[in-house]
Amino acid sequence: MRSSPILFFIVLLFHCPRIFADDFLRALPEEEFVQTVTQERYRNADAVIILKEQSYKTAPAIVWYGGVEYEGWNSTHTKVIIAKVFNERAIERYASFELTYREAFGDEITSGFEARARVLKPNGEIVEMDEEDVKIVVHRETETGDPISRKALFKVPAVSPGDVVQIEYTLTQPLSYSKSKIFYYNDRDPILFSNLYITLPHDVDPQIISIPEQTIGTPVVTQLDDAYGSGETYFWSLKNLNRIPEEPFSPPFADQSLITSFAFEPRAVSGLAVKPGWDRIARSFSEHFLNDDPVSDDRIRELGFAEKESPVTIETTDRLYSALRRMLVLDETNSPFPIGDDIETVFIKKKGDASDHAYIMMKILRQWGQDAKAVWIRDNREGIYEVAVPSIEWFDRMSVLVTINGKERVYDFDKSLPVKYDPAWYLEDASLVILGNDGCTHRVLQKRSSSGINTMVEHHSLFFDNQMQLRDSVGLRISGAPAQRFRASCYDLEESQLQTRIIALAKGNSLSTVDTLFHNNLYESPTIEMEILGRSQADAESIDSFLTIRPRNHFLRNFRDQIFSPSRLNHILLDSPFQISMDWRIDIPPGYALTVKPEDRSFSGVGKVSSRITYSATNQTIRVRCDVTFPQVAIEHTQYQKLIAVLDQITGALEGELLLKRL
Amino acid sequence: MIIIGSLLIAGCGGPGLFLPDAQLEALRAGQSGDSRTVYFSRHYRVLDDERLSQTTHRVLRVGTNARTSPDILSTPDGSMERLQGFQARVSRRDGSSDSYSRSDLSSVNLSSSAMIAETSVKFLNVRTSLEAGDLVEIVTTHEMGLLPLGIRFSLDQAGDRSTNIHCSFEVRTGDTLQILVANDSLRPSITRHAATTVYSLSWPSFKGHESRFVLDRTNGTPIVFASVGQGRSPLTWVAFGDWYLQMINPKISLSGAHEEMARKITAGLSTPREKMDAIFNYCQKSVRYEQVYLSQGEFIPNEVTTIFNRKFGDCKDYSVLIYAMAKGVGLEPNLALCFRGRGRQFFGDITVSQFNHMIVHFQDGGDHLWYDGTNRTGLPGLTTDDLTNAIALVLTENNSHLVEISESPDNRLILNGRLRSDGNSLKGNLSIELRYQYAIEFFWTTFRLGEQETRDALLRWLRRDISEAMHVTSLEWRTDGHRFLIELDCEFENALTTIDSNTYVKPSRVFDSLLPDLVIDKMDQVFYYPYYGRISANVVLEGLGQPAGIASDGGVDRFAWRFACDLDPGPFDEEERADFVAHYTEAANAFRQTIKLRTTKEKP
Repeated sequence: MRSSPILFFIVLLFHCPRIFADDFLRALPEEEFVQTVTQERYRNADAVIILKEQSYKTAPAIVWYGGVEYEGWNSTHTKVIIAKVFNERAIERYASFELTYREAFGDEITSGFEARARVLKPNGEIVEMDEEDVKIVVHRETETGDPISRKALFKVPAVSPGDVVQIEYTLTQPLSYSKSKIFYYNDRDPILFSNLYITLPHDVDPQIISIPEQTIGTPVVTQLDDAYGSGETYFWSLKNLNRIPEEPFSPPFADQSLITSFAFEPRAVSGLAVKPGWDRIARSFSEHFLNDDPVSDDRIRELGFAEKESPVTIETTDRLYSALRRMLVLDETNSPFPIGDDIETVFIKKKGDASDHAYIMMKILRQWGQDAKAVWIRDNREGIYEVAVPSIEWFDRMSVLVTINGKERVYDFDKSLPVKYDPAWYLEDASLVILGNDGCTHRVLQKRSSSGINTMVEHHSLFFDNQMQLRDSVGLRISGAPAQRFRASCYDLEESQLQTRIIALAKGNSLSTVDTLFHNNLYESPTIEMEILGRSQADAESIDSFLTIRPRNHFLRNFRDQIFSPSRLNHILLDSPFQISMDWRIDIPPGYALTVKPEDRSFSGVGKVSSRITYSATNQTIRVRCDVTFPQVAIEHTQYQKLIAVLDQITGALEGELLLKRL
Repeated sequence: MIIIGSLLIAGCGGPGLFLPDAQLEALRAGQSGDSRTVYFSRHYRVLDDERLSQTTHRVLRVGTNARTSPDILSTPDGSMERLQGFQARVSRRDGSSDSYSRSDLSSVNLSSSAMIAETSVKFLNVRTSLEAGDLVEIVTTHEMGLLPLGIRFSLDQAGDRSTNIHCSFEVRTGDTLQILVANDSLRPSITRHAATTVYSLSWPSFKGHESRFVLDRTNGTPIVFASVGQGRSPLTWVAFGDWYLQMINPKISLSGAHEEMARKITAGLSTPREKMDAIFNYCQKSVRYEQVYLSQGEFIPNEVTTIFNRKFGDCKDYSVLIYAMAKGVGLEPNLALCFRGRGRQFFGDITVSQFNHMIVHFQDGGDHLWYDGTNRTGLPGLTTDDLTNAIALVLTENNSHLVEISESPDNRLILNGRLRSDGNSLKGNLSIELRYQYAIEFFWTTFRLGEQETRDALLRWLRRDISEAMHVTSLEWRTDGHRFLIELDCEFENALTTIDSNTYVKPSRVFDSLLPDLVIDKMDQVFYYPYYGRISANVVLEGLGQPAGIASDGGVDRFAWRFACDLDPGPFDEEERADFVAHYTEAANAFRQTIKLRTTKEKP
């Protein structure tokens, strides 16, 4: 059990007897305490969250509607934020509120939302938001006008830097309970106190896990009452939590935050408490979501296959995956639950989410007699899931595992992947949940790839035109993780928009004008290829009887720009080991010759980054080659400046001067 | 050119709904990777003094690479344009078709933490997937409020590479329609009916303006402006100003307490200018920028007392608050409308739909002063530089008129420093000073962001606007009145070329972002200059050698590179354009010169 002094202190700071504080659940902190929260003390923070309090309660409930009694579980989620804001950036975050919530029963049985907000000025004045300033709008509605989701919105009045903002809201959702949930203690700003209350029915046997357990400790447990619908409240309180800022190539927020999660199963009909477990969830999922509609023979033929394919080889499954990717478009969002009971709709609309696509592939393979398993995915972009917490809440989609002649392949449906099968970088070293007949297993199916798989290759042919302007025919070739990232950003683009994107890419570092552009079908092929011709950004200058040329690289500069930050706070986590290969072929203009061939050079640095630059020359051409390898995916944030330094060193050397003399 | 028609003959209604099958089928010819609009018709019909009906008829041919839902499957619905009617059909290549009505639309409200508004997007979910060559035909009718705002139809609304574009205006007999077709020589054809007259324009095709030259105007697409005046008189700026001032009049009365606050803020100040400045400073600091658009809030400000109490609002709210407080202490300011964003050609004859921003104008003797509270850190009397030389409509009862917002003559970017050689690199320190309108965006950056993000933003700015080749090793900044100062230590790799005993340095390579390297092929594409135009540089280069004929300074090689330019920001008329190009060319030639320095002593 966690020691009580902290709890006592928190109660002193924030306890708010209703008799003194209108409807606010927590009191504003004392002025003396607020004055200790200064920008000097929390350097580089936009705000400090003095209190983040989350409480979640689920309990059995009976809802009457239209003369019918509905029995189910209600859930209530309350959140309190008290934050001192230091600048306008923080005001943008804390003074504008937006929460979207689902309305499972449209206008029939609606959710309840209440919010309060107030501002404590440095002079002690308190400005309270008018209740009427909370706007609740229907966010999405069906064709018949039934709300699918609502949005609660408001602006906190009169907030200035130095103020304390308090926001409290409660969302009550009828007949909508979750058997598991994950709570994050941290935030994007530092937190002084982060509290969590979870109230569950007293007659269930929940599995509650905190990570890391030693830091979070065990909860204070309060038995509310033995009466029907009441339960036990579990309470945790942590203090002084670091902020987790958003930075490129960082570990996901979920992997950095301290978390507590719970899972439970309702008591069995026999009255016995039921322990939650992966096998139970997997069996229930398989029963309810994987045994629905088969795929019709007509649809299989439409995909270019016979109703029964035999034998099924890896080549067949690859072709099936490609056919599905070509025929069906991916939705903007995913859910782990396929619409198996109406899978024909996906064919009619030619659109569905990743799980719908995976369901179709799995069904077709099973109809062919080929074993295919559903797999729940939480990939490297989201973070890892905790095996100790059996919950489908971790996952956002389903994919398919096929094993043929001992060879395993995960077929995932994601915007970053091409039509032709290409192993997804974000599944490397990621543990996946493989669903079987009797439960599930947890396995890593894809090992970390090597830098040779994830490559960015740029080839420049530099030549002088008639006006002695330096022109460049640039060839860019991207494979593996970098290609998948680029493809994901282009999935929703029309053809002309894609060309504009590629031109912008070329103009970023290589070319100042673009004359011609060719690219392959990047949605189809795992490797993305572009050929662009235009005026070079490489520097050429005529001095007396000399001509100087400085090559200019694309990918290394681009990578540096992506990771650049004046003071890195997170560790660097690259997608995968990768390699940049650069190559210049420079035509020596007639009447000139290279004065001195530069020395070949090698570099190495943090993260085992290594590079070699080599030069060769004939009477007609100069060749410059450079490979940079990044074999390590994780680099500590303390090494960030050194990483930037080695990148600058390589670029500096690579873009050094080549001196030509008129003969 | 502007056409004014006074309508006397009664006439017809709006266009029909779907196209005849044969006409629709003819649009199927051809194919493209992108989905394309192959027919676009917009019909405006005046309903009464305040309302306008807008019917849009569009046919889209689905492209061979179609992977995402085409944009035309959505249509807006909000307090400024209320959806009244919707009909659609999908005509497939095999001859079959599906029809849809308004009841097939689902809706998404666009409100978010950034903007609370009564605006939704209605989406049509087609029942079966769209295939290449399918035609999607959609007819929507919206009712637009606030007719005096005028009408603006840009070919961008039809979409890039669209074909068969039509636009028509139907006005009642007795009313007056003004039409201006900007960026095109097209004139409308006129059809007179018994009760109405219809003005029609057509374009066979439209290609977007996206690859425009950086100095070209940003609104070069053909645009039709129109406004409707009651009776024989066209809607003038004066008439518009009176209408708008009358409409917002009930919203701009101050309570006694707020008037008292205005008096308190200006207490002890003697000149009108000082009082205006004080009110402006109070409002811009106390009120934060937020967009809450309820009940046509996109155009009508909130009540001054509401803004004062909740301390947030948008540009109109800032302006009416400054205006009302200034009035409260006996000053005579004016509200003013303008367009925030550079490179826009302004059409002085017509209409208010050219504006997107409101500020406050105050005439102090012969000086025009401008107050823009949205900047939060602006300088009293000055706008930000994205309003430089823009035209504002100053709203005054019976006398609304256009005034140019002049650039501050004190704007300047000053670069000073001292650099020495280190191999073929340059190392040293620089100081950069930004003055007046050039400084305002930096005041905002430091006001808005914490230290780390400010540093990040400044480093990115240095890379974008001073030198991409620069590696910064230390960085400090401060604000000093009208100036923003940046001090830095830095290094430029590969900055020097040494041949024999000469060192060559090219400032345009060192400060490669300071003056853009522009190739001006076509004079008529030069409309404005979107970069820093007023620059002074004085950078001392040490230890590199001396230019021929100049002795070293006490045995130390020291050479000062000096550069200055004063380029007008535009927009330019024909005469100014030639002047600008001559000045730019002169400045660029000076900037790109290679300096040859001869070593005066033996190198170790």
